[in-house]
Amino acid sequence: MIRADGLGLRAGSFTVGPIDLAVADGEYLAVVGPSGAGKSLLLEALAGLRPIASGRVEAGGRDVTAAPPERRGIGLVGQRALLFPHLTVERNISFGLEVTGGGLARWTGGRRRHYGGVGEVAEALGVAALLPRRPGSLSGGERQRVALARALATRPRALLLDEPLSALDPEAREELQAELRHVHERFAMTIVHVTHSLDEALAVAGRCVVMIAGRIVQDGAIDDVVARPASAAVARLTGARNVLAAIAGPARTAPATAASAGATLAATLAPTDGPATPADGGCEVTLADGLVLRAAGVASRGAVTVVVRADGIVVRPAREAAGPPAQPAGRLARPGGDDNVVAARVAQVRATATGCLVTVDAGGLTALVPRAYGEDLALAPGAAVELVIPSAAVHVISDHNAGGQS
Amino acid sequence: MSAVDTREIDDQAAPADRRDERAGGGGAVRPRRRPAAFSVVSWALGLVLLVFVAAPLVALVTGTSLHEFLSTIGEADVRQALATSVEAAVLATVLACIGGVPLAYLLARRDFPGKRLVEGLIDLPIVFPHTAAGIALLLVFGRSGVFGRGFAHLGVAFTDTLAGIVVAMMFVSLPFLVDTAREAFALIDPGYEQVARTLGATPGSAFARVALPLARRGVLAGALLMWARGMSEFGAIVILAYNPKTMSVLVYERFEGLGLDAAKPAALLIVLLALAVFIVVRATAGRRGVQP
Repeated sequence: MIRADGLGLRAGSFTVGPIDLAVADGEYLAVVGPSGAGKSLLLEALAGLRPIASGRVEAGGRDVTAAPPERRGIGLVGQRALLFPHLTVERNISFGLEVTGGGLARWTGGRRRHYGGVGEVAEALGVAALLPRRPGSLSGGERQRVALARALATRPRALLLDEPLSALDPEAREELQAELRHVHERFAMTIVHVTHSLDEALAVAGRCVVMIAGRIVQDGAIDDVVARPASAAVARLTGARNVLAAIAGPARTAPATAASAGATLAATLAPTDGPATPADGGCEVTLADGLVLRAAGVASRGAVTVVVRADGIVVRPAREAAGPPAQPAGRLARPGGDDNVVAARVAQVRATATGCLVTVDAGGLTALVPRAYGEDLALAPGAAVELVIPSAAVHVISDHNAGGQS
Repeated sequence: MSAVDTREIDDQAAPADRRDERAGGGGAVRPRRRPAAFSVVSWALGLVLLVFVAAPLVALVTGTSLHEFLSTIGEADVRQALATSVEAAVLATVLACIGGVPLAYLLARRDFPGKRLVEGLIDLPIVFPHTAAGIALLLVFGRSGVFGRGFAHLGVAFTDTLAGIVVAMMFVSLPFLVDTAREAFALIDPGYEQVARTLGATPGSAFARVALPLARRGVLAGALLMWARGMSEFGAIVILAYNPKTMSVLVYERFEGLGLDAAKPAALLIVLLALAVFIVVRATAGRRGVQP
């Protein structure tokens, strides 16, 4: 168990905290945040490498606030493996055992003593074959494995990982993500893993805390953070493309008309006959250009931030593409069960590795279209399309309780 | 194949370049081919200096016959002086390492009030005239000096003893050890020691097992430099401990008493020794690169 209560620290003019954090025994926690959020500083403080200005740190039920790093039993592996270049891989891994107790008994009967724990962690991390080698001859992935083995060999109470995979190529990164899960289970290790990548957090951890500008702004299951970011800043961090200012009002049961005077748009959600109608607890949000979307869940009012993930929007060909548009600008949101259906024209198409990012004229929304579909849709600026946005995919953050927006 | 391709491209590109230069109206036909006047002047001035440094060395070597040199080595007082120099310089270096290497580490790693002052104090002997250093040392280590009286109780005297030579050598050559070692420690990523700490190493253990082995080449180079500087010291030694004679004192004495020819072989001996150490230092420091 690792615990921080009201932890505060300073690095130059940058302040971190106060931070309250509890990591249960055997838990795998991800700390996600943009660069410069103070994630590394937090880990250094937990490890005892950085003096703290306030608060207390507990490890294994013991107050270690005043304890030096060597008495905390907390391992740390950073982005750089920092293997001791003057020692073999084996001596790197046994380093912690040598300096804590085994040091004097290192020479027994004229032979260097072998530490039982070394073989086990080396085998667990797949570096047993590297033991006689020098760190200089290892690949980046191998180095990180050895660094992990070295940290694990001392059987720490917890393992802190500071962007441990960010210097690796994608293939090695994925391999090591699986390895980290494996290590976590095999050694029942408590792990705090700092990363700027939500994908990496998803791959390894169950729970995550989001850190922005030195403070924890959200704490929960990763899926939950992705689906329901607590602020616009968190939403952007999760890669949500559509983070928009809007006005929320009560959900209407009748098809909506143009939301405001002068608007050429009308958006609505059909009062469908099924019980799936999100009449309970939902709301309608009006975007800056007048587009109205129905949101399920929270009944917000007033100024809000609307978050719609690009991959939560389905793009399909416009049904009336052949005929003249039914409404001016042809951007009529139409009934569609639990979905918002928005007619729009493509404004911009941008190819990415995962698919096409299609930005339309309605609400400035951006949708992610998988590559395979992108070609079928013949997406090009000016093309008429329909966006299908499930009301559950429209996440509304009330501006008055969304701290940490930037 | 590719070489041919490159040549073709070069052939095409070269005339175009020249045309451009002419079109630019620079006036010079081949402005890039002629070495800049600055380079010529720099080289010329540099060469003068190189000759200035090398000429005395060459004169010393060529001006001494092998026979003279060998017979000088055979003389008892020369061998005695050489042994005194080597012994005192080794002692001074070892004693300085005990305190100087950890100090160099602290200076490289920690910030503390008065750090600049400590650094300045360490470097002070470099700007001290060495005879003045000898006078100052005499005031402290002489029979009536603070340390002199203190050590007298332990049976250690500094005037005209090996201990005096050691003290004089240490005083003037300490900066070479501390500065070089500090630089070597500063080049080591502090992350190594931090990792060692999280693995259970105390600060002392992290220093001994990680920082010192990683900085060993630099520390060794510093120690060798200090040793060599101590070997060549004359000014401070001659004031504090004229006897037993070191090589530098012997060379001076022979020159004063017997003339240039008598001093030459002894001078050559000490220069060759310094040169050998210098080469070792260069080789040691040159291979300092450590892979992270």
